[in-house]
Amino acid sequence: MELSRLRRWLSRPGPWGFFFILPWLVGFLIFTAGPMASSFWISLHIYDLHQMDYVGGENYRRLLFKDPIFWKSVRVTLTYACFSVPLGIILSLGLAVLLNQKVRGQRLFRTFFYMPSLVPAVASALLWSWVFNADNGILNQGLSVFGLPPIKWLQDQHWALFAFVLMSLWSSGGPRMVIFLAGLQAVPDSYMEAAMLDGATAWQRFRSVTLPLLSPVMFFNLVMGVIGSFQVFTNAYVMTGGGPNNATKFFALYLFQNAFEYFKLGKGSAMAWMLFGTLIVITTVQFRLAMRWVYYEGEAR
Amino acid sequence: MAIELRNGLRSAALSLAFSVLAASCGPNSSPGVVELRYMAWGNPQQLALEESLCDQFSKQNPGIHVRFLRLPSSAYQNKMVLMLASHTAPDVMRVDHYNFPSMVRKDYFLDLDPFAKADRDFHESDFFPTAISECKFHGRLYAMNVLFGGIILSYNKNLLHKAGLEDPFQLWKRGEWTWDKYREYARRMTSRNREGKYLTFGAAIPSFPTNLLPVRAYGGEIMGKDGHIHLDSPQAMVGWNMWHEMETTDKCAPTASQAANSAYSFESGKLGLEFSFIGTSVRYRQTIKDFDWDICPVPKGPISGATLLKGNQLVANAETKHPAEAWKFVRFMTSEQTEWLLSAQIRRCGPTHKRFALDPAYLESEEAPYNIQTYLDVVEHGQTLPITDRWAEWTTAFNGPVQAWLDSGDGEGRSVLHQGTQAANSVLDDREGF
Repeated sequence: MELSRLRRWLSRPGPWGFFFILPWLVGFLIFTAGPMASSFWISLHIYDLHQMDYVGGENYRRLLFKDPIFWKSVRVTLTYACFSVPLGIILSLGLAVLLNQKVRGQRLFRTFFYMPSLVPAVASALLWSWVFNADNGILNQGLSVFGLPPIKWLQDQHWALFAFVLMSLWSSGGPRMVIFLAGLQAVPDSYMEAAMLDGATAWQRFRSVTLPLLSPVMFFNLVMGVIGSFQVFTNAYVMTGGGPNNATKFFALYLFQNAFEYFKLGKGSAMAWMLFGTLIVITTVQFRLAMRWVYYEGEAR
Repeated sequence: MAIELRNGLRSAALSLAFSVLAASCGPNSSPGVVELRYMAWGNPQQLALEESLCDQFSKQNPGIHVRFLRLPSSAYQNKMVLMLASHTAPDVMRVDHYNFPSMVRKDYFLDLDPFAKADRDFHESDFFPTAISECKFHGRLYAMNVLFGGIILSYNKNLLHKAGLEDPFQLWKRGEWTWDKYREYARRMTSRNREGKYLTFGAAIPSFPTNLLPVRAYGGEIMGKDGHIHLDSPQAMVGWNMWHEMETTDKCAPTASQAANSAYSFESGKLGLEFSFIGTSVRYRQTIKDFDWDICPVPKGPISGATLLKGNQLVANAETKHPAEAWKFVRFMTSEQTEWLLSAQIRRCGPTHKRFALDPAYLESEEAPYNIQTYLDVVEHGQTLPITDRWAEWTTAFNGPVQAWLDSGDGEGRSVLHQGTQAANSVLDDREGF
């Protein structure tokens, strides 16, 4: 009786499915879910790797109502996201459109534009610190050609964040562009031909055919771009350390400083959970809004 | 094919046999030998010397083998704290004094008082007082001072002669080396070409905490007895304004953007005067070949002429299984012989032993720096910083606006310093850990 029940149970696909994903499941529980749960528990404490005192939601309360640098880091990150994400998407799309043209050396151009994203983050940060050098940097030399005064890109608190936005465009030719390129290649030629026969101009075809068909790809890039912009760390850590006067104190950098420089693991964990919650909310809103502008082929509207 | 396979298998078997043999010959397997793990960071010359010292100690003490763990300075503190928290820390470690006060009170380190009292060759009176007081917590000895030293001034002798200026070390000996003189020297050592581009700068604005030197010299106080920061006092303002004016009015020090990417580093020969910790002399000996240089004590102000003094601490892990051996190694690494190598031979630090001040041989130098009296001035008259548990936090809060003001030259000094001081004090007033 028992044996037959076991056989029946084993003949179902469910247990086998779990059995085959067991390596991943164990890894996920130990290395992702476990640390996440423990970080939430830590966020309810003052913890410096030596002593752990339970303080309830005090870390959250103080971050929200008593820590001016926290709000500064939120402002910096939001401002950065508001500029770098749309500008990056426009530039990546523009590059993808150009690289989708059937011209000689197309593959060479694609490789060439993808290359910046292969540069290691620290090397790229050091390179950009040269570009932004107020005295000898190539950017200010370019400005001087137009008679413009030099800008202290990384030393002036009014310009430093803009410098980071500018730098973020450097990676426009990376994976985001490749995804756009794949999306463009998936646009059926028949739609374009039909539009041409109807007398649509190039801009009209792009506006009314290409863009709607690219909207799922654009939505994906938007979601990933927003998440990425909330996680900016390396460039700020290497180039400015969050300065001048906290003008580039990104959320992730402040989180790192609290957790690993001051060893305020409770505060750092609370920040990590707030970041997680914020991204969940923003992404949910994006999904809700996506219903208004993202079109999937074959979808009835 | 079969022969290749056989050869391959034979090679693999031989490699395995050698590996087993090598592992069994290692220090761990020797019966009766205690392995001490020692962890430190530093520049290549110093680490090479420390490696040889570890070997020397192991040879002198056949029952102890020291394994030296080197770490990059940028990762050192994090690694050490994580190792201590996970109970895997080495037996003996070097700790920067910026971190020692916050760590010692967490019982991470072994109380060395009983060992010191039982050691008939150990006398606190042999050492400069600060070298010992920096290592104490609640009156008990928890470390021994290593790489002891403070801020000195390096100067480019070629630029000095070109500007027709007297050697600042001679001025110091006569008691005439003041901050006013320093500023005048900086102005006169600055030069530009016909197009107005700076060829040399007289001085560089140092970063925190070196930039506190004139603040203290003019009577400013860093931390009062009330535990609050007072870096916006009128006396402190004189020192801060001096740096600001050197950059914006005198234009004899590079702005942050001019100095970016080491464009006017001391080693490049384009900088006349530079404040730095004593240890930089080791590097300058290796890298500076194109001009003559030397060192002198920091200038004096109307209130004080003392430099900043700070060492590193050599500590034993509170959980070490070999406390007696750890103490023996700590004593060896802080012995007169070892210090002679570090302080007199490679000029990595100042001495902790008073005897050095009386030894004419210590003052002799066959290559720059020659003015070794500077080292003794640092350890004899230097003043420590008020480094407490929350040093890193309040200094970051203070430096945010103040460094931006010094770097960009924009803003009104008094309000910026007030803002920085308020930010630092609000950190200190808040409960620790949040």
